[in-house]
Amino acid sequence: MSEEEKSDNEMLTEALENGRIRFFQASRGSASGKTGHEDTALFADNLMTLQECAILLGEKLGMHAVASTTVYEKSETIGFCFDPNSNPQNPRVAGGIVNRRMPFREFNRSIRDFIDR
Amino acid sequence: MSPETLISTLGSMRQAGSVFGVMFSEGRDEIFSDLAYTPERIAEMVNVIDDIVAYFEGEGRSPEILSFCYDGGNLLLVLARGYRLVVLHHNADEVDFISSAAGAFLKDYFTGQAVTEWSKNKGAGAHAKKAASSARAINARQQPVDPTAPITPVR
Repeated sequence: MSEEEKSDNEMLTEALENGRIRFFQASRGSASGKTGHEDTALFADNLMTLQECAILLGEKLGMHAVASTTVYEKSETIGFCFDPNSNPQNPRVAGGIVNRRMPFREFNRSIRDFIDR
Repeated sequence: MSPETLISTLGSMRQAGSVFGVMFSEGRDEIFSDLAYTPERIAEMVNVIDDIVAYFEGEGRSPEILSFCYDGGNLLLVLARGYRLVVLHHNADEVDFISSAAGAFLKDYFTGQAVTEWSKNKGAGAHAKKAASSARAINARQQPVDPTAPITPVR
């Protein structure tokens, strides 16, 4: 295991032990994070699925600009927000996964704080 | 939970905060909706939600609550035991309150179902006992009496 992979795993372990959000970013079809490839791939899969759900439902509602989506599944909270300052032609997304149910407001605020950092 | 109670409770949720529409469905069957869309559009939404649930199930997943924020409003989707509750609301900050209210509604609904089922089974069980007892009494009367049998005094 490389030093970088060791560090990523430590961050993942620390986040899981303390119930902290693991943050990710995505744009142009690729995602990045600091908690390892597997965790980042997990976020990327969820991002694609949730975006698709949001688009399908939004079409029926006549709402098209998705700002954010969050899901509770078992004891996890997963979600993303679009970076409002990103180029609409090349939108950036930030998101997170946390191994507990966080209030939606608190989760979204954390993602937005991450965007603003 | 009677249909009237159901409609009343769902309608009450509509009054909570910035809620502007509620829809309750089971599978592809709409149970209740006051969304300001055409019946065809609502039916399409019910089907889309069913497709979404089927997709997650196919992936071995079971999300329980999904929250979507759009420029024109917010949608909360609560999934439980094949039932789907959709709540549209204007104020994104109310999502946790509305999520809690939606969860409470579903718990009440399932409790009502369980009580109704128990009452039906209890009633059926009591009816069956009475019927069995009547049948035994009829059988006893219909047994031929042996006129030569000794008479046993009752103590």
